[in-house]
Amino acid sequence: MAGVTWEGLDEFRRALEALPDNLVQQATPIIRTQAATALADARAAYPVYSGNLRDGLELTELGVEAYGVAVRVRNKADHSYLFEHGTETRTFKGQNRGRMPAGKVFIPAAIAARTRMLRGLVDLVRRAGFQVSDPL
Amino acid sequence: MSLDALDAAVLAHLRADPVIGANVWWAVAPPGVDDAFVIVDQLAHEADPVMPASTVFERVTYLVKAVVAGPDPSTWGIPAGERIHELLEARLDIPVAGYVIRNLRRTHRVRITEIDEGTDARWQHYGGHYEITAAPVEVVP
Repeated sequence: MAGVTWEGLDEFRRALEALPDNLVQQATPIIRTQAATALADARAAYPVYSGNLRDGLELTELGVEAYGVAVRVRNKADHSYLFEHGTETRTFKGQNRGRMPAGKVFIPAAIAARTRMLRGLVDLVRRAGFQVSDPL
Repeated sequence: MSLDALDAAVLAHLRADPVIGANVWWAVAPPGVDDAFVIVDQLAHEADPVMPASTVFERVTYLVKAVVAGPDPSTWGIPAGERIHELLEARLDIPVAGYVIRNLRRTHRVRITEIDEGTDARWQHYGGHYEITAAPVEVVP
């Protein structure tokens, strides 16, 4: 299973927890939007053979916390982890098709969306008057 | 100045280690290399063009994993995976032509047991995603 949990960086949590409620509410759509974007980008980039990789994508809200919301994007397809990281053997219809390199679909989409999410959260915290060094 | 230099530096750094050995390959091991080896591959890349026509830093996420055939990774796979971590985590002193490494950290642990459904062969994958933030020595205007 390939997956990533969206909840921002630890270093932002204290600042986010100190935000007024109205700004906390503004963090929630930033996180939701980028989680949905990661899912959509991965879905568009997956090769379609059986469709299991594309159909295994799932977005789950883990609940609203003090500093916003945590959203988990994952792929429930059994072979998603091996597709993403590559294989050493690959037998299909009795034939050994050889090694398969890493698929590089889910993780690049997740990393790009995570960066956009963190930029949005940094901007939010700065707008609230906190000084945040750019960690990106 | 090319990110190829960063790829080459990571490969050379791992290959120079006596525990890992020279059996380190980019993306896939070549035919004939079948038992135990290390794979390095780029998973993602981000550049941060703060100023027009320049890049202040580049961030590359590498998949670095030890791969070993068989059901038991304890003899080589796990030690090699742990050695990979020792060699890479927070190592800012890896020489890279044209770049200075500003950050190097593991962002994700990889631990996979792969089972070939046709032959029931087992492969163990042990390593991680390593994110390198590298700054060009000279920012090209």
